[in-house]
Amino acid sequence: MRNIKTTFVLMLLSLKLFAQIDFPQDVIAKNGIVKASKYLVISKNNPNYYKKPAGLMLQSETLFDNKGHVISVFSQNGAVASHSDSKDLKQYYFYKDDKIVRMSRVDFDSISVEYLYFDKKNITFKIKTNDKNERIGLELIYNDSNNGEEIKKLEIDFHNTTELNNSVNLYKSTITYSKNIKKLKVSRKLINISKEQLNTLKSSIEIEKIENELSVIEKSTAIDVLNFQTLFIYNKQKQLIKEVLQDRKIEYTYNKKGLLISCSNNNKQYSFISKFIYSKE
Amino acid sequence: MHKMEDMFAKNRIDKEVNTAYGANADSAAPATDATLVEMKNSLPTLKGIYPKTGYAAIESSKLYSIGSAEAKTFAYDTDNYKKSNIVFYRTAFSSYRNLAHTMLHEFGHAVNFYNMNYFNYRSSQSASASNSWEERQAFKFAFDNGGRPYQNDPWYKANQ
Repeated sequence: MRNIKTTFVLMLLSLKLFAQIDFPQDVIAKNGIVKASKYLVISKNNPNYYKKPAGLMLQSETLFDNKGHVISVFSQNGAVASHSDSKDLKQYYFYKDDKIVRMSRVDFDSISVEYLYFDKKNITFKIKTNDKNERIGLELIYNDSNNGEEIKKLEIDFHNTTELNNSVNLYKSTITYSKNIKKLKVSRKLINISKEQLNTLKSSIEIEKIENELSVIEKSTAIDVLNFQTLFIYNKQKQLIKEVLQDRKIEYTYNKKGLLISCSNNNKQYSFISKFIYSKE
Repeated sequence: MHKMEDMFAKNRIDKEVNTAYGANADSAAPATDATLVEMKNSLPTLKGIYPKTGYAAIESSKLYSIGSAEAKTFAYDTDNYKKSNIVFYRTAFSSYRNLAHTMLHEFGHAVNFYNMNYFNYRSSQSASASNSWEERQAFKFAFDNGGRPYQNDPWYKANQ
């Protein structure tokens, strides 16, 4: 079968849950794109250089439905752990009324995320479960009522709590926007919680109850606190062109051949180029 | 080839454990996230290295081990392997000393992921070869930062 390859430039790009790339849904749907293949650009020194497509090594494949939604991502040997063989990384996405309602990820284990929408409160509520359908984490996303942009996120991860270990990681993210810059501030707190609080987090679907519990937990004394900040800088076409972190920057360059990504940190230089190629078959 | 005096000089993680935990250094440690944080903050070597892991998430597991692994550092292609999650199983908590050496080794993995050495190596090697290389790098990292000699470690030998 002949592959029809196109060279659309990505219009939007941001890191989301599991670092999923935010593809331009309208462009994908309008042009009948069904697949985006992510390749690493490799040098002639690489023994695989002349394998087709020459100079490119496949990293992952993303499939779309006819509305331009991402329905799956597959990365061969894309999950790595020390003292183990690699596993394939597979992610699946499910939609209802044009909104994502569930995603599943399979690699070393299996995790699902259910999405609930509380439109009056402008909150998206995400429930993370393991392969036994037990809750292992929650996330509340607060959206701006005027434009729908994310302005605050509260994520709590309690998958490793035991009878001995009652610590949870609470991530509080605040997102501000100014002209072409999005600033993401994340505070990660390790906090001990009570059995009652854990039970509420594991069972309740009352959004107010969850909000109140998270508010109490957030004010608790933390065992450990870490703060991160990332700046996302966009061009006039609202394309992400640079990410600036504490010790590194990542630059995105768009051209007719696709998207090029290069990274460099302050101490040691390194770089790589990834390229996305869209196809209709 | 390391000189003998270098090997003793580099064994500083044991000294730091002795200083931080005294008579309890070889006693079992509570298998909790709080123990991990306390150790990360108490041992100057681990405290100094931790930012270079990209402030990787560290957590304790209720499992005793996975196979014979006392800890694992996870990373994913979707993030270009640059973000790690380190899980310590209960056998790693057999003593504060063992935990310190295990943390140092896993921090070596996380640093190698965060600085994208693994990504760069993987760009020209198979997944299997890259994983063996990554393991060897972690042993070397730990030794270079005050850990134990590793040439006879069974995990190291398995990945040579």
